[in-house]
Amino acid sequence: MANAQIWDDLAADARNYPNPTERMGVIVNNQLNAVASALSLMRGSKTLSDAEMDYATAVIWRYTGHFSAKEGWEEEALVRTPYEQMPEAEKAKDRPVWKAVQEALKANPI
Amino acid sequence: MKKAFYPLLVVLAGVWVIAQAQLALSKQDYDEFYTHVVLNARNTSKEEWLASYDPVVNFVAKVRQDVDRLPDATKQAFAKAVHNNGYWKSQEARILDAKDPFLGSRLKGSDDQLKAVLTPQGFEAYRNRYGQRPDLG
Repeated sequence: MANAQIWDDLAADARNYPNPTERMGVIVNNQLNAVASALSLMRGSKTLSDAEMDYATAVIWRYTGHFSAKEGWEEEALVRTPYEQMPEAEKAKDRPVWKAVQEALKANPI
Repeated sequence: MKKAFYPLLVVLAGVWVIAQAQLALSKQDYDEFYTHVVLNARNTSKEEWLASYDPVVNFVAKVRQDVDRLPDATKQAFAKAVHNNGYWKSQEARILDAKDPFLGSRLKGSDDQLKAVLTPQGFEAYRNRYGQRPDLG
């Protein structure tokens, strides 16, 4: 199922793999860096506002959200966009991820 | 196993438990990360951006270690939430935006290069968006 989009489809598809448990581990792990990035801003003593979350997420993802590591400055144009000048449309692309983690944290306190 | 080793095992288990507890990040660690790392990060020059590289990446890596220690059911709940409500929507928005600077430059690559940086769903969305309508690319 190359274009599975919903998690339950992916989980069902995992059962078709020779090692379903290993496959399930892979699809879970694929999401955990994004979970960690969002949680890094949600476990302090202060609940950040949406605007603060947007800003802080922009900062973090300019380091972790691409594949160029320390070459990111040269290779990723978005890394060079000053955080304060980040367009609303750009923030809107990253917002669903931290919002999803925020909601999941309410349902699964850790 | 000889009973004489049991006390040693208990001690080793205790050391392991303490080590694990010490690895877990505290509320203060998170506060300091936000206040001293995130809010002080700047990207108006390469030097400024690089100055915060290790503090950001290393802290998120520690959080990831804490995430990895969560029960499997919790990890799956977070992964499902991010996949269904977050990651996919975010990537779809980037893929559908031909000017997106994070993915846009990669859309000029070969299919193999794209597969290396996109999820299977993202690659399929790319093909649906651009593969069948090359005039849009």
